[in-house]
Amino acid sequence: MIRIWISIICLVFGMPVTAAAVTDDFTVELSYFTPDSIPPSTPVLASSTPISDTQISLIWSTSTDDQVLAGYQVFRDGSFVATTTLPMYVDAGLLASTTYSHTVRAFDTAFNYSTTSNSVSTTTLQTPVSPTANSNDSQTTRVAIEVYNFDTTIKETEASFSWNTNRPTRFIFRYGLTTDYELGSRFFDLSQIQHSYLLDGLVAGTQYYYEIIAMTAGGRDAVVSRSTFVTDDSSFSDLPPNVTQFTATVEGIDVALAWQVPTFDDFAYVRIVANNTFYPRDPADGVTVYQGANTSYQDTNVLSVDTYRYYTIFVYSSSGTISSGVVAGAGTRTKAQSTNSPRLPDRAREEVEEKEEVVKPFVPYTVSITDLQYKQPGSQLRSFGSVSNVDGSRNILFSLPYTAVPEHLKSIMVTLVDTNDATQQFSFLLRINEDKTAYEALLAPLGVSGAYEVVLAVHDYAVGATTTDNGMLYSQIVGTVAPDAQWYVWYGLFAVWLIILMVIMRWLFFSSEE
Amino acid sequence: MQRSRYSITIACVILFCATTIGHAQVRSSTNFQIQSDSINVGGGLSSSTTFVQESTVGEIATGPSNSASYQINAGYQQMQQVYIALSAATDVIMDPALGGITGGVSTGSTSVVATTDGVAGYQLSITASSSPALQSPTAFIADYVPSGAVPDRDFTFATTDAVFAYGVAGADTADRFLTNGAICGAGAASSTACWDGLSTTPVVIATGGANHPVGVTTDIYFRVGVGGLAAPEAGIYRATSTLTLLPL
Repeated sequence: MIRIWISIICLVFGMPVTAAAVTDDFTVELSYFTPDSIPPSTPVLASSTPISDTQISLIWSTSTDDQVLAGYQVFRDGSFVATTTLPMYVDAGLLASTTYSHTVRAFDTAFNYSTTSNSVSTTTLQTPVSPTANSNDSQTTRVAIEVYNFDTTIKETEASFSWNTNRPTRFIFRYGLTTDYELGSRFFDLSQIQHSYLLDGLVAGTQYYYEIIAMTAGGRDAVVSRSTFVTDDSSFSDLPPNVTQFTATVEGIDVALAWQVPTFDDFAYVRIVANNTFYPRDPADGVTVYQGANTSYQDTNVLSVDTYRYYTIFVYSSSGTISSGVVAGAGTRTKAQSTNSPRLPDRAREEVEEKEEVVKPFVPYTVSITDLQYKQPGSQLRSFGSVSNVDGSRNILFSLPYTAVPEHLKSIMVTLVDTNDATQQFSFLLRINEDKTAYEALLAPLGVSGAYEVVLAVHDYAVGATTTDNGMLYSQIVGTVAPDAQWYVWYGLFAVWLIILMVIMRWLFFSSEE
Repeated sequence: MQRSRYSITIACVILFCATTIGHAQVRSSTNFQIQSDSINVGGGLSSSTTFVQESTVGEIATGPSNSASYQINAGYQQMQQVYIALSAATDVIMDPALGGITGGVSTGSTSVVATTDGVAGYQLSITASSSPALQSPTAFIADYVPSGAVPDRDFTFATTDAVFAYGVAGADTADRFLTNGAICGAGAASSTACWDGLSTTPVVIATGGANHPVGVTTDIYFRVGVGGLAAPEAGIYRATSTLTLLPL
């Protein structure tokens, strides 16, 4: 009997086997630093020298800041004149024999401003008297400045310039991310014939504007060079940047093609490939209609009634690498009347419908703008959010992970649409990289501040369908004001309000007539 | 009367079976799980004039033994012992450091590999040690709050806010962290979508089947967003999180 009870007890309270959970702790750490609220020290305006009848050279002591000094602002008679990163500036465009007061102040990267420096008054030189026919003045005062052997060498973080002049001159070098040359200027007060200047501290893959003005002691001046350069970014991407502003315009039965060549050292030529069915995916996917270094081409006698011509332009580097390609098209067909680069996804869809391709087995997928990634020199690869910001003065690498789209044949296109003018569109292809890890395209700097709608479109040849997703891209040039992300909402509301107002006024007007 | 006895007997048998069956099932709590238990029966001593028998039925007190090359799980139900392992997650330093007058977004990630040979698989959950999770000695950054029951597909925050979020991606990612491209809750895992706030309540981030010996990697992504007008207090903010791997 006891055995029976023992058995029952054991039956009820059997010995369990337990398995414990495994745990692991880790930490996430974020550094948040203090906003800089301390202004730089006040600069001392040490010298103010008239160097011609229109220019005054200013030199001041450097300021210090507890964090990062950003630059100086120059004021003439209390009005802002310029921003510079150097402790010197040549104020130009002045009136002869006129007295001006100058002050400067420093600011840091948090835009804390120092107090204003001491004020120094200076009078510009008299306008040089033009020599008469029987004048005894030296002929050299009347000889124009001529520039020889101008040469530049552009590297990742520096640019060097050299040139000769036919007579001894001094020069001013100014540069910036815009034609305001807001990053600084430097005056070289040594008259000589052979000149050189090394500009360093630049950012790789960035487009800069610059101008060099030569001056004689007598007040003559001449532009040595006024242009742009893009610092090297070979370590940034193996791809050459694409052309910009590629347009195809119908001119009778011709198509006028125009584009802007990107600025980079290894540029060799562009090749334009045409196709009557769809945008060429690579340089061999169609007929080569142009190859060279020009910026325009007339594709003659190619349009007849109801035809459309698709173009892709590829940039070749001297080392043989090829850009991903920029697309444009033009034709006489009713469905695509736009002579500018049309909205690509719509046209692609129309084309597919017309082709009536055989639909093959296909697993549907959804392309997402968040799959699109981008980076710029000096920054990491970032995922494209519904809203993304870029520096408009630097190249942009667009990248779509290889695994984000099906492996079979497809075209991946990105279209940038100017939100201020929807006819201003720019479409380019993404091509698979050497590592087969992503589809990529390198864009030259956008060059402007503004908002762009970004349309990511994947055209799938297996099913003849195009899937798209949209996002917004904001480009900003340092020194300019970026558009407010919601400005178009207010513009839209204002437009609606205006229409309602007009309807009410019209109703009131007709009511009063009745 | 005879009929009543039969009825009582049958009832006892049913009650007995129910009791034993109910006790022999797998059980679990938040941190532990009874992977298997057993019904043991007593043997006993039997004897006659010519022999004595001590009989036993059930478990034998054997267990695991191993060498450099082998591991033996010997004994009754010993083979049901589950192997389960979780690789160590590296600490995360958010990049870039934030501050100044503009705020911005800082990102970071860590990965763990969950390995199990349990047929029923595993469950991986995450817990924050504090609420809000990301804290400095004197301040904190708020946990991200999705707009709905599931994580937000896009990481968004107001200019006046500073928030701390996480997302999950991997082959066994829990449904709430999957996205179909528009919303979260179903679809595919993404390293850039489906953002949620850490909680002191465990949240399941991955479930999967047996995967020994390779295991399955789960990536955990973190984002801190600081609006231009948020101006958090300067300092080092830390969040301590616990990953719990549970065999099913």
